[in-house]
Amino acid sequence: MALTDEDLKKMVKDYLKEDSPQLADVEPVISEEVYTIPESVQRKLDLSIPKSIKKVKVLTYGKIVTAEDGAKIPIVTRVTVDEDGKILRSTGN
Amino acid sequence: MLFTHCTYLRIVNNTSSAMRITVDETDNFDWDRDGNSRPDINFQNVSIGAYQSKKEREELNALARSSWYRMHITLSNGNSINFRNDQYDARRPNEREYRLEGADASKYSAQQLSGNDLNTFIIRTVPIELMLIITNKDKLKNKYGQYEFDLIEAKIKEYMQALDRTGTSAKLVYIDDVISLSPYLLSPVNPDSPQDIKGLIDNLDEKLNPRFFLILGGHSIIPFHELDNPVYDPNNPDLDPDRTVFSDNPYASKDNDYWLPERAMGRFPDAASNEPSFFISVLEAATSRVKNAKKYSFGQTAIVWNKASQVVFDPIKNVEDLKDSPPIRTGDVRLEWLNKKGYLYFNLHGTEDENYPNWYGEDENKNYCVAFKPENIREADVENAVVCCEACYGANIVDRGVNNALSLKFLDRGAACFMGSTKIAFGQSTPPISCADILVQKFFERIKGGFTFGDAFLKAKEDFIGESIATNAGLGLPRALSAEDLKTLIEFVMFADPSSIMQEEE
Repeated sequence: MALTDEDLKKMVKDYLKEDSPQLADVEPVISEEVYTIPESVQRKLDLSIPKSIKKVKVLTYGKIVTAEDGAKIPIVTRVTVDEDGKILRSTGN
Repeated sequence: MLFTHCTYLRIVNNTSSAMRITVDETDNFDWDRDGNSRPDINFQNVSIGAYQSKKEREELNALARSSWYRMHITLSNGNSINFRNDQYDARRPNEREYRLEGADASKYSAQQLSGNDLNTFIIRTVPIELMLIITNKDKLKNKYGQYEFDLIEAKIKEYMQALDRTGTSAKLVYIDDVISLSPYLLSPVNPDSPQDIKGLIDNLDEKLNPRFFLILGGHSIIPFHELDNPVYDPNNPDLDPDRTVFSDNPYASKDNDYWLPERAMGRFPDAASNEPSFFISVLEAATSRVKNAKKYSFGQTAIVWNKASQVVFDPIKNVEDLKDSPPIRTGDVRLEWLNKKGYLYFNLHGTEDENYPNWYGEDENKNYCVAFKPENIREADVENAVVCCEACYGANIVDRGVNNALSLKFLDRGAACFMGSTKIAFGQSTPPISCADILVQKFFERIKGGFTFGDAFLKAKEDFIGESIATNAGLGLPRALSAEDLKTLIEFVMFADPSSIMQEEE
């Protein structure tokens, strides 16, 4: 049975407590995304896109943090998970 | 009695200019001392017409081990070249490009074919590469005033002459000027429409087929394209707040699909102020055309990204380790870490707020210290350095000046190249690296590989796509690109002469 969004949030929260504790209490936005290779890139690099690309679930966390000089820095972390809730990739700034 | 070897020297003029030859740096001992069969006599003050050749007998003293001479060639177009050669080459087989010297050496090639007592040099003109320079006359005049515009235009012309001396012919096109466009049967375009300017560049590309493209001016002179941000979610605009991405990718793309450009393109930005000294200094630095820099490097990273940054830093690492921030803060950055370094790498935080031009570190407790600020390079010698920065907004120059954009500050201090992101840039904190980390790593690799800055930037994007797809597949993700991969492709810009090459020194 596929995990619910609430299940995913809980699993990723445990990961964030370790990796990005400032985001652990932030409510994420969950979206389904399709990876792609733009047609022109396929043509220019002679690449082919897989016939079927599974959608992935991305949990995005956003927060504004304050640096020591007062600057406001937007922090975005995108955690990509598979259907079992396994974290495949986590990118941020 | 003098024993000699009979050899022949043949000069083939495969250029469209007549050449006049003089010869010196001969040693009397090496040649037919009493006769005329020596180049300082039978090639002295000799003229060879365009596409003509001349062959003379040269008697070599059999007791000499070599018979050197220097041949000076002045062409009817005013160019001058010379080369030094041992006529004993006639007795050994050679088929090689021979090194030319002199003021115009880069414009010509000399092919040497020797053996069987004949030594032949074929002099050819090196095919000229064309650079298309794009800017806006009215916007420059309105911003800086007529007198300052004249100064800027004079500096552009000096830069073009410097390019010409190194074998790159440049054409300056004002996108808003009828006279400038009339030779190409083109008309001025709406200077506020990036799409119209791209169309003009496409037309000029078709007519001129330039090797390099250079945009002169910042966003107020030639506007960036503002592309949709693939990561932006209109329903949740507080996540990645960048609704659009400032980009030069469409200008550099031959078609309307801008993800992977084909044109070797750079930009010399100007600053927000209507005082032209910064822009003039950038043009003057480019005019020097000498891009020698030490092979040593400096790198600084937020400590939480150290592991990923190490992978990016690896192609340029030399002696010094990456500096972690914290503990390194702006006040700890020493001038000697920066001075005379050919490669500078930064993986720090940045912000879009013009009042905070600094870059920031981050520790595990989520303290964001000021790690680097414009004052750190106020006295630094970063001349000719290649600077790559992964900080968010690291290359955001819109409405910015030298004191509130570190990218402009580096250029003001003479850096040859600044490559960075106009918006929020992504990466992973630990390997495998992704997004901005891959792009910067590939750019460094290509620069180190001897590519021009323009080609290195193109190839890095190409490399980025292959590497990102492979990395994603290795992580169990689809064998394709994510939204943040796509954003990376469009948000990085390069402020540099695209035809320049980094030449490393010890």
